[in-house]
Amino acid sequence: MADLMLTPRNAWADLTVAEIPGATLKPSPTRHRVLFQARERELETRMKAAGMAAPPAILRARMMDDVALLRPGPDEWLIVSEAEISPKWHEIAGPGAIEISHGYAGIEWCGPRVMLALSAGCPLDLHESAFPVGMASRTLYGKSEMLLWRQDHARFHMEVARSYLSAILAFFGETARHLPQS
Amino acid sequence: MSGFRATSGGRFDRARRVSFTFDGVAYLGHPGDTLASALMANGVSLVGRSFKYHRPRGVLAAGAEEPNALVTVDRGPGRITPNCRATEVELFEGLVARSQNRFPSLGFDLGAINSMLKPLFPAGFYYKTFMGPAINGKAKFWNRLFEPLIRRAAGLGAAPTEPDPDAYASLFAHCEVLVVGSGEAGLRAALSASENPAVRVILCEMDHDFGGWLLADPTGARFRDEAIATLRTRPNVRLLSRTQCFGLFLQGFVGLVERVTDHLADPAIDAPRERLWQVRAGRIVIATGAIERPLVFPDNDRPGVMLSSAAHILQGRYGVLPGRAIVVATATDAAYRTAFALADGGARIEAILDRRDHAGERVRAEAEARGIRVETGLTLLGTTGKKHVTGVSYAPMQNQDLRGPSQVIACDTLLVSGGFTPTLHLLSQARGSLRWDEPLSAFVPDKVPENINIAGLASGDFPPELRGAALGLLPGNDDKSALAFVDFQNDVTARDIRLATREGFRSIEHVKRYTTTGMATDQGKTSNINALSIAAESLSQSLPKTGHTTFRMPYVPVTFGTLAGAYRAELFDPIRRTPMHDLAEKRGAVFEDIGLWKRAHAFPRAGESVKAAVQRETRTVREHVGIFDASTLGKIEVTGRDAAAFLDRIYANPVANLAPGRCRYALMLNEAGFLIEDGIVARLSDQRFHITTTTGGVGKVLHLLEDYRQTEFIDLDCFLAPVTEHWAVIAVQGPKAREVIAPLIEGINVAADAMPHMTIREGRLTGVPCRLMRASFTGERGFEVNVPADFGFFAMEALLARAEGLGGGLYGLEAMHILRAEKGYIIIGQETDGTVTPHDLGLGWAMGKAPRDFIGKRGLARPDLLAKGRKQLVGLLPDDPAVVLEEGAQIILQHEPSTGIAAQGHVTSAYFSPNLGRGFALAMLKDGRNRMGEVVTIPMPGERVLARIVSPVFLDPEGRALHG
Repeated sequence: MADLMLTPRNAWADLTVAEIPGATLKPSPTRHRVLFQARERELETRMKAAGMAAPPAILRARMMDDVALLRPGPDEWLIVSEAEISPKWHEIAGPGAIEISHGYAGIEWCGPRVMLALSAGCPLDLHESAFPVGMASRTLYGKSEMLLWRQDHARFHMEVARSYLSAILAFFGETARHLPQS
Repeated sequence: MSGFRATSGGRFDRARRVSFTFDGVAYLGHPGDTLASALMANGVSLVGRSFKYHRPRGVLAAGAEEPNALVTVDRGPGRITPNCRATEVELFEGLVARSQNRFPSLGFDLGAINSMLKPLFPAGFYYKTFMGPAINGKAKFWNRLFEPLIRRAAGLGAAPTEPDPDAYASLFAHCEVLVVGSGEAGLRAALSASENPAVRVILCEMDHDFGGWLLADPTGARFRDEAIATLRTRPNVRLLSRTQCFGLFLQGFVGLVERVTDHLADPAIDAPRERLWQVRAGRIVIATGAIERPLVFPDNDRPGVMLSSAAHILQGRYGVLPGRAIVVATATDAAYRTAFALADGGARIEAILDRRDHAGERVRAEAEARGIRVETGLTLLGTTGKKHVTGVSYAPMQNQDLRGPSQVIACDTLLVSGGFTPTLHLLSQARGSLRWDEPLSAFVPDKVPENINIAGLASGDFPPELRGAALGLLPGNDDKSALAFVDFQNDVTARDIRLATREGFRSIEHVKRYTTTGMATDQGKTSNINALSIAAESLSQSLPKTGHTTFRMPYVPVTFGTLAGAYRAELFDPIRRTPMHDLAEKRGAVFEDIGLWKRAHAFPRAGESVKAAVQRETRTVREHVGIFDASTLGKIEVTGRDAAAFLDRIYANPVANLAPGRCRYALMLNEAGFLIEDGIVARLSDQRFHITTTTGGVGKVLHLLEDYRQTEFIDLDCFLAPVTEHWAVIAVQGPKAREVIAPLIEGINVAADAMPHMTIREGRLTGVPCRLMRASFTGERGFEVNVPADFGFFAMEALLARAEGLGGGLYGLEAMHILRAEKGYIIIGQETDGTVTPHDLGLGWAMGKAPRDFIGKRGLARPDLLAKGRKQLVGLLPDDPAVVLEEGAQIILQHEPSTGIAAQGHVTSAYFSPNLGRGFALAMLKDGRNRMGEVVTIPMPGERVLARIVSPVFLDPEGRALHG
């Protein structure tokens, strides 16, 4: 029986891209996620030793090589990556790191109306003066918890617990139809 | 002038006409009209019947404060809205509106007989009269007869019966400054705040147009138009018309509701009806203006009696005259201005009756110049007419005494002005306080929260012509049978308020509730000050000492649809599905909601009932093997140098001594010593644990662990993360469980001696990473296969194929419940209710003997938790094996119980077991473990059931099936 290989079926299976004029939601190619805890100073030392730039500030995310490093809490760090996370990063994350890859799904939000569409369910102030590019924070969309990371003026990456993905797409589908003009 | 519409003036679309119906009669109006202005332009003055006495009523006010003209707007099935204020309903082509609270018609209303029986209907009448007779101590007549009848007669409109087909939108918004109200003060505030482009400003206005009073005043129009034009050019300004600010909450959080399509004849299919704006504002400017008060005197409610300001707006904004022969009764100079404007518009001013001895110099001079008759120093004694006012009677006053005979002036309209009340409902909601301003005769802002500013009339900054007041019942009106209305919407008269004080109600809050003045949707907008004044006078105390009632949210009614928003039907709560959901669905699962999760209850086959399927599945697990989706089980990973020490303090069980590769059933207590959660603690390695929680408990447990980690056990170095959704879990349970998994597992020796009960191993399942746990919630040999969620679907398919080849199959939640109950395994929230200790459940052994500290240890030492006679977990076997007890049923020790006997326990779980061939139950019973073998009584609907107390473990007490 060992020849039987299980086929992966990710959270997006059977779900499709959601879209309104000016806002598109599509699957993010990110597949791998590791959560770890470290004091900032300690992590900075580890990263410097590996020849890397300093870690991001609290509630900020930074692209580093092939992975994104997010800091949703004071000493909490999240590595998100499309490719398998390299041993170098596992080293940095340390022995206490916890793999959560399959527990979440990534959604890419892009288009000039995404900020407005997000405001139908997200209580945070998403104006760039309050939520600048590079900011990443745990918050809500509708009744679903999520982590929101602004990658550009009109591009967001959302990390949601796997089972909430369909609720988020459905909430977008209902609320995005009813947005005001601006 | 055609009808009552002047040939010029006003801010509406004179060129176009729209048709509408009111009570089935077709009328014409103009875009820009309200229903009230259009009806009055058509000469319709009777628009409603009053709440209690069914008195004929006309339009009194001009906006949200309208207490009389409440109508039902019918936009089709499911879109019927009662209690719309006609002064706010915008006219559109095809509008269908109906009057309310009348039968059979507005003109001839049978309910008006209440008006003749008015001596019978004082405040508190219903409470006093319809008390009895009581039958067996229950007010059956009230519940079944009186209340339904009274409600039918007194209701305000009828609630819609069909589901609401409309969509309601919602949006969060943030701004530095929110301005509520777009009158002159609001516009100035918005203009000045938005000069800085970095300051985001939201200006909201409940009317369909911006400008407030300026809209009715030709001299103010230019400023208004320029201000709006300027604000529109500023990208940092959001202008929201048709938007009511209904609630002010903490920290600048504000609720606005925008009417998006109600005013449109043909809204876009996708357009929402209303939009809820949840605004977080740095600063809030309340520029809500002031509301004019009516005068309180007998029969002051006849159609044709109107607030002077409302008439001013009607004429200035809609070009409609309220009548042709007008008397103005006033205590302010403002009403003189109205009189002059109406005279300019073509109405005849019969007289101005001024309560005061002296009017303002300028208005008096102008009245004289215009040749308008002015009488001063007088009181009003009543009106004549039936469904419309035909005259007003008054008498001159000296101090508080009549100084001459009463006189009557014929008129078709009586405008009244009793002074102005700053609109401070929002300040009241924001916990600001009010102070009585004697010269102004009004409550004005006192303590204002620091994030709030009050601007314009709302602040009490009245220009001289708005000053002046006539408070309470006008003198010379002590005839007890007269109805002098204070609260028009709730039909409360001066007499009612005096009666309340006579009957001993001294607090204004009690007077309010007894008389219903200032209640309901009206919230005392026009009536509050007059009611307070009458109460204060009757109590012989000052008005500020009497105090004022609290204004409740919302300022005007908000639809349930808006509050619900998108959260209804499928979107009410997120629906969570496991990675194997589709597989269960394909196999015919019947789902049940467990928290937000959809879980398979059972898998009935074609032609099989759910009940039969549950019984079959239960047998399959005991005889062969069952496959169960346990993915929703909460899972938390805990790592770090001190992970073991941390969990050792969290759980009532010792954890530090758990060897890597081993699992332990563990209990979590709260600090009081009560059991709040259970699960399995599995040690993967020295510094890594995989713990499970109940499906519903994981969020709570996670927060609890984080709380202790961050605030209590800060000496410990550990980290934790939820991994519930990273791992899909397939439970394989039954005598053939090992046979099912063995060929699929790589890298783990699953032999009985290599992997005994309560162990965990890491390896692979057909090539994918797997955490394999040997655990059982069924009492059978069991494995829980954890695979990364993407592989859950196919892993379950592979395991199921194996199981089916061995005579096994899927089982659902209900079979699982039976299986665990047969073994006496508890479920948190079923056997426990927050008052149960491990000892009560016979789980004291789990805490070990070694001295160590853990959460709840001190609590467990409390004398009441050690006392005898606590409820303990037992099993129950009904004498009749076919009987299944009801969960929650009470247990009585006596077999022939007399009334009033206290229950000694309750049934916590009850099922029919195919493996026992009978009904059985778990129960919590006082001193239960000492009562084994006794027979107790369980009252059930229609019968009493006898049951024997037995051990809660019904099957395999030695646990042989678990091992091997």
